[in-house]
Amino acid sequence: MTLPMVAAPDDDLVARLRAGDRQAVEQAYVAHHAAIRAFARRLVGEPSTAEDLVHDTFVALPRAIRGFRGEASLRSFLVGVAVNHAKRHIRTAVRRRRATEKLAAQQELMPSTIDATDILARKRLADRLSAALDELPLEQRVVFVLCEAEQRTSVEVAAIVGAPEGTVRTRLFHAKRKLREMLEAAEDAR
Amino acid sequence: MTVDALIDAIRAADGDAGDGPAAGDAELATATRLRVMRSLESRAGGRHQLIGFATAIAILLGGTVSWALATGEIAALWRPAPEPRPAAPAVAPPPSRRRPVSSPRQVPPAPPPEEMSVDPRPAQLPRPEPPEASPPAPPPVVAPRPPRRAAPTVEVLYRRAHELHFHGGDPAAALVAWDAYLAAEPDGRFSIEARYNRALMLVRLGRYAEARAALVPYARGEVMPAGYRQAEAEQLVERLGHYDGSQ
Repeated sequence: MTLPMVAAPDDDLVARLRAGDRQAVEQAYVAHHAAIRAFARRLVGEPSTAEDLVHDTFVALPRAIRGFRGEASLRSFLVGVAVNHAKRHIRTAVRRRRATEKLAAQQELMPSTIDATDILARKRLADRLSAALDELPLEQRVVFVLCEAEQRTSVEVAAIVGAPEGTVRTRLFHAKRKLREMLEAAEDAR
Repeated sequence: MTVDALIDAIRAADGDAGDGPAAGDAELATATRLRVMRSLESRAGGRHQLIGFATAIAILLGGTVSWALATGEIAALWRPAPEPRPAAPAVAPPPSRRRPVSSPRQVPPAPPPEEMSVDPRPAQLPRPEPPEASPPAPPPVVAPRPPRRAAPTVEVLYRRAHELHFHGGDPAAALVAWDAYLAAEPDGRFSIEARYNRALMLVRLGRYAEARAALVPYARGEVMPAGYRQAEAEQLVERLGHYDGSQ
């Protein structure tokens, strides 16, 4: 079966999703999975857990679509569905990351495993980024990723998370302040 | 590292922050797509199973209710429980021949109402005196329904006999029903009442000798609880006196 790689107009797709058409879910996946995957990875910070979040988002779509009012695009709506399912996955990712950190700390004590290549440097940076985000509450983390990493407007983010725009700005402010404090403390510790 | 540097790093972390699939993601995306479709299919299957199960339950329930309505079992469930047995008199009569011990947890059944005391054929027997000496009948107290037991058949038999006795209008059928209950539970919770009521049905059917023989132990206060229906039984035995075996 060949699926069209171009997204059908949202209205038609939404109508089919509401009618319980499973092919419509597949079509929505083809049209939007990359955006949802990118958001999931930024939010969760771990590819395998992010993939689980993508899976859950599209599996939940036939039921979640009942709440779609058409005020935002279907893609934004899907991001909102992903946000609603993110909590459990973030918790899983944090646990995995901490276990990996412990293992990495043990390995770094062994001279034979020390590697100064770019790959390791990038991995360490990614770990630091994720560890910093892990310290934020879920609401602040979601808003930070949507506003700063995905560069969405506060109006759009407000529609995605279902909160007033002012609340979104406040969450972003607190998230940035907390991250700044953490980064300064990390610099001081060196 | 500043927050801005952190933000830049996050944007760059997953393939230049683009929404298009990064290299190597195509396989992952396909695998996840298949996983999503499998999950949706299994959910739909689970929903169908649930609907099938609910339908089966509904059919079973409907069938049971229909059967209960057709056989009258459901009406027996809604009928009030028998009234509690009247209190024993202060003076204890001679010991009983049957049922010396009554479990305190058992709920006593209702004695037949006063109006059900048998008037044995006015044309042939003198009318009984109005029960002036006997204490007034206790107000009808609906006893709590006895707890359901493992074998409800006996209880159903009692309820059926009770229904025929008080509402059936057919003494022969009531007698058969009392016999059925007593055959199933000769020394059961309600056997004293059942035997008394059976004797009343015998009176109504004109089987006076049998009725008298059945009522004598009650008239003598030889059944437990002591004095159960003794005064009424004495009156009946007295009026049935000349039917002591030869009808």
